[in-house]
Amino acid sequence: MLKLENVKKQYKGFELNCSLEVPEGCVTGLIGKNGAGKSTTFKAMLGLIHTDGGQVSLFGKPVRELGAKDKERIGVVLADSGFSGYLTVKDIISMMEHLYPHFHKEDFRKKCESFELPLNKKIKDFSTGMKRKLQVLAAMSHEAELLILDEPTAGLDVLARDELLGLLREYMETEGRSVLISSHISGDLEGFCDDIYMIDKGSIVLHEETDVLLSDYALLKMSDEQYHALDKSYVLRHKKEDFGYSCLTNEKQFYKENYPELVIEKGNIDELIMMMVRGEE
Amino acid sequence: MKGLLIKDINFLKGQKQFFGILAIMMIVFIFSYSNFAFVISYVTIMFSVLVITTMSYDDYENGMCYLLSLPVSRKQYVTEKYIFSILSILSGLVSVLVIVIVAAAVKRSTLMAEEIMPAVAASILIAALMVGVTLPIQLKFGAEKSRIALMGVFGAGFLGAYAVVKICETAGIDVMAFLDSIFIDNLMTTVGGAIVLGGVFLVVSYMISVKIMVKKEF
Repeated sequence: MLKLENVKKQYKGFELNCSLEVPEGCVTGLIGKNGAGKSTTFKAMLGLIHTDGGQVSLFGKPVRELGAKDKERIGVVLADSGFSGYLTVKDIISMMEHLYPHFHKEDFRKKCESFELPLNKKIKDFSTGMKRKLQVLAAMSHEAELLILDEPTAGLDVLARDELLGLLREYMETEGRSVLISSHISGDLEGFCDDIYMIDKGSIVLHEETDVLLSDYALLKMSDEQYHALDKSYVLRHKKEDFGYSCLTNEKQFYKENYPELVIEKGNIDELIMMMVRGEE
Repeated sequence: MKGLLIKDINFLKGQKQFFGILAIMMIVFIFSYSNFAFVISYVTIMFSVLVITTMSYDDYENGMCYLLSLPVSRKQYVTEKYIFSILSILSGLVSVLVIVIVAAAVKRSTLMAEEIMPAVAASILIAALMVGVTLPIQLKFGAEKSRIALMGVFGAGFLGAYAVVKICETAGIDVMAFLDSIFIDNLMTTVGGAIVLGGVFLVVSYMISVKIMVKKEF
């Protein structure tokens, strides 16, 4: 559905070199710290920036050739952009019904009301969370086949986040739909994504299915002596600690069987990010 | 396209102050000075500036990125802005003409075609010039930087025109008499000419704007 092959973009002090794919029917997550290149990747896949190399294709078409008709098939949430603050939800409804042939006007209005978004208030007076809710609801309002969501849960409280993730799950119940979602809250991704890409300094440093990530990846904690005696074949990253070393592995079972004396912690995605970014290869 | 036009018209709902001041100025100039020609030019040109407001609103908090991820191509965005400009200039012109005709009837003063028509022609030309120069600059530099660029362009334009008048004066050509001969002697040709000239100018400007927009990064 969406494919990026060696997409390059050079900025002063930053270089993006990214390949990723969102297959049909899948929810793919993109994680990385601030400034890692997530938003640049999203801009590249939406054709908002001109890339210096590589290929971006959406629905099998190069993104440069994408017309308005193709864009009807995607729903977008962007981290640092949204509807103009000088419009109201009512204004947006009248605009959207002329932009999208499959816009569910009444359903959208009802959902806005249930998420407590005032219909007649200017969006610039909305809180960050309200703006985000509006964008997510708008993205899901017109039968899009692909959702491209950059930080859709940023600025939301726990309840609103849970409700929105519920809506996204509901959206995925229709066959053939796909989602690409980035978030810095790993909990959102753990329970929702089929596979996860991790981006750091503009490059993809890890791609794994979420199930594998949660079942086979782990953090090993050990003393200096244990570290030196360790078979490091399946150590992805290591980091010096006060107590000795911590290591990230993608073969938890191997170390469990061969080194029963090691402390093995089932890593969550946050710890994984920390180790992938801060640990040494 | 229709969705974008609706959005821009919705933006105008927030422009009550702008329309209020415009109405006050109109009343003052019609009833205190009976200067119909000025009112026509003033209102039409002010309406031509509305498109810039809509573009600043689109750009508010980096909104262009999101707008272009909706089913809107870059070319469609530019096309809609030119259509919106033409519609706003025409609606300004038509409404001010209606108001002037009604006001003249109320005041029992006769409207002279010699007074009105040159004002209509000049308004169309100036409004087309304003839109044609401002849109590409606004697209190229964005809301903030384009103000400086526009000051430069219009400043240079005025200086150029002033220089031409001065040079003509030293050469013994009476510019005002020359303009009068164009405007007053051939009323309908002048209005027609203004529309054609304004149209050509807008087409050229549109082609430049599309090029700028296609190259732009967001």
